[in-house]
Amino acid sequence: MSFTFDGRDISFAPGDSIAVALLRAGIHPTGGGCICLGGDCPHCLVRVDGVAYVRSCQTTAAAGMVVESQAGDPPLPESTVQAPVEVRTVFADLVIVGQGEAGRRAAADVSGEVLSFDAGRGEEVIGIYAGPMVIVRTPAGMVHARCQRVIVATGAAEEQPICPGSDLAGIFTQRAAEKLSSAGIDLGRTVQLTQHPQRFVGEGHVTGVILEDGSRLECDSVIVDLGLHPRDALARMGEGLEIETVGEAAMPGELPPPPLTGTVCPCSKVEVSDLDSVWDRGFQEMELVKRATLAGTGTCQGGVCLPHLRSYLAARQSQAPSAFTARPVTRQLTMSEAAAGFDLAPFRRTSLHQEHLRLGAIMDRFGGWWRPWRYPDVDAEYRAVRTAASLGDVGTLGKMLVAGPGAVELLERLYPCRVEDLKPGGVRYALLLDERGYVIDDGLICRLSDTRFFLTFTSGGASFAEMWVRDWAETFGLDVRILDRTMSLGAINVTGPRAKELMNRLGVSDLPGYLAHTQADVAGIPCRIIRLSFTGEVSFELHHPVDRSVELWRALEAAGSDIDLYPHGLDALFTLRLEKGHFIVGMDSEYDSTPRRLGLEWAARLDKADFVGKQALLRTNLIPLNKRLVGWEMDGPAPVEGSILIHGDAPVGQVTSSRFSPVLGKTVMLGWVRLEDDRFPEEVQVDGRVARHAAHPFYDPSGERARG
Amino acid sequence: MLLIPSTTLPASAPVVEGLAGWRVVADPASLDELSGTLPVPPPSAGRGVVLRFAPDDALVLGENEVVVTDPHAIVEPDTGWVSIQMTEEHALDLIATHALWPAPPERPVLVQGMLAGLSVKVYLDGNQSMIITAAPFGLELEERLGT
Repeated sequence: MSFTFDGRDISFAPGDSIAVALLRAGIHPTGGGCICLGGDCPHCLVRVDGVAYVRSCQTTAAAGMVVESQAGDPPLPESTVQAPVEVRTVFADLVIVGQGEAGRRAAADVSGEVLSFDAGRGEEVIGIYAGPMVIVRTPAGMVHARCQRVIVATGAAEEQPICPGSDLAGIFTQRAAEKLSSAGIDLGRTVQLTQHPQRFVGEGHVTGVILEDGSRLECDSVIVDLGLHPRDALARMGEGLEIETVGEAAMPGELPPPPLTGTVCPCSKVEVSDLDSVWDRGFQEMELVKRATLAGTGTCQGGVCLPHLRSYLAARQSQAPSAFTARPVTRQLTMSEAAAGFDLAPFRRTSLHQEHLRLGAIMDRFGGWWRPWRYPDVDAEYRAVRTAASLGDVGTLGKMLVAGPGAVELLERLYPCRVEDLKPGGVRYALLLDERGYVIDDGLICRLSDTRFFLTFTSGGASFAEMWVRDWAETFGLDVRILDRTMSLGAINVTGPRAKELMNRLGVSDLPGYLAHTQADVAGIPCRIIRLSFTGEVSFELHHPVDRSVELWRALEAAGSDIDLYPHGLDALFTLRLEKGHFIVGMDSEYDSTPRRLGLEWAARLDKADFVGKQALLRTNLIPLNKRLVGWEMDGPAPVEGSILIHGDAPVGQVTSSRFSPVLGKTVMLGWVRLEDDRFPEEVQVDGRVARHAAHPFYDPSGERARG
Repeated sequence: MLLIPSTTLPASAPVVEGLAGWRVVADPASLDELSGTLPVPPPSAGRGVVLRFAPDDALVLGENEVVVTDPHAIVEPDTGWVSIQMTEEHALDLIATHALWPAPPERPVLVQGMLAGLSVKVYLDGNQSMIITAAPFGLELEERLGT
């Protein structure tokens, strides 16, 4: 059995770690540095099958592995697409990290559900997070263990020598030497040290050691037995969590003599002279020294340097400082492992999603949904709406049923428009205000009966609207039933000058008038037909069960096949609605947009009884209007949305929506403008061109086309 | 109307199927009555099941008609859900690998939460277990669980 190391075949015995196999072959995994074989130092880090920072002493050798030395920073992986790593979430009362003697004893002494992890079984604990949640890498994938408390029984690490020559090969800790001996590896002539030497000597490999008294010992290997310090990083990263440390991990540990020269932190290559430098500059606390030098921030997370840093500071202060805070991760982690179990926020697909793809639509994400942007001929889409008939998928709109004896009162108190006088079959456009009088959404109120209403909201605002309506119903203590129908109902907008004809062809002769609705079958499919207009042309929204959407869409397509019917996506819709001057909440409105600032005073009836936001409107209406959303027009192509409006030399606002209008032959825009010298500018510069204030709707201002 | 979830045998690759029923929003007492008249799962031929989403909100499967005593109740046919049928063992495995919460020990049981980052309802009851989500998340759920 063999693996390759930098292209060379390395044989290994069953159970060998990569490090042991390399040492048996006479190879130091990193070229030099004291080997611990305990996972505490950075001196055996290699790349395994492309994964960098692998502790070769903790990784069992396997046939066919491609192992490479890791000099300096490893290169980024060649492929950016990695296979997902499986993750399991497990639950227990107690998690024990470490299954040495102390860990086994702890497991025997407790009741409840206990999970244990041990690096010897290939289970590397990466970190402990709030919860507590213990993140573990196992041979089978990642484990996220959620528990009530954690016992850290990770034992102790051996101190490493800090002196010149400590980066030579041939230096081993006592435990490492024992493991190598058990593996049948001959270390040659050895010198055993129980005290820090003055220095190691040799060229690449140790050949001798100079002791404190200056005497020199010749050798092939040095075994250091300098003491232990607690391997308690996991406990130190769980400040405030239910974590108990037991066994050697809980021992105080004796500090080594303060380092005088040499590399203190082999991960970050921090020398004693670097510590002197930061000390002299005033960084004299443990956490500051760590940050100033980066000692303890490398791969081994203080496994080597921490006792020496404490000793260095203790020698200059009256007492030994506490260990620095440890932070995840204690072991290297691939991006795939880190991302395991993380899910991106989803985007919903309408019941017509596949239909849009069939039609060649370019899809985009908008308001939490995948929506068709173009089909892809945006000119044909626009033309169909203005001259013939078109279909638009508006199934993303928020939809809600409100019923009950308190329904009228709820909506009267929720909306700034009148509700009580709306007759069954009637439709009213409505703003939704917050307590500050700011517009948070808009939509329609459709009255179904005396005590039953169908409401619509914007696509992006539907979830919030549901919460909003429910909260206020509870606050007011009203007897209502509320059902969000957004996910259950599809909606198709049939629009254009020939929309009525299309509906007639599908058997609907008794069409609702403008701002009215009715329930009727369209092509045999039960629909709530709502007559309104966002495009500026005659429009019917057909709200229907989502499982019938494709059937309805295709029936409409077939019925309009001889009248230049063409679907329209968001790109065309944005031009169409802008020509009508319809604003979009969140796109044209700002967080502090009142009806007055939007030019929609008519939508807030201040003469009706109290409603959410009324008191704020009454107060703010006393203040002179200082900014407002208005229409602009200019010659030439549309400037980028967000462009600044300049008056004189001063910026006075910005464009929120901007499109070239094919039917008007000029660019039309909506944009915020601030009061300037007690008046709103009538002419501004945008993109170095003149834009003129213009009343909107820009297209069909009398609304004749929409009313049909 | 599809009355009962499909009896398609559980497959290793999850496949979403449309779920049709009645959505009932009514005062809790009348929904308690409704739950009392219909058997607790498992649904069998001609017998309905009430999946109680909230004290005042339920999805009723397997019934041609739903009548509640609340005169103001909203009772609407609802096809806005999809489900993946599977064994309980498979469902528990998916919960372990895609959820941050433990499966409760009771059976049958309806639990609600996030699975693979999606809002779902998981019905655990032996071989008639299923994961339910809103139709707009259906394909996303299939893709996320199928990887």
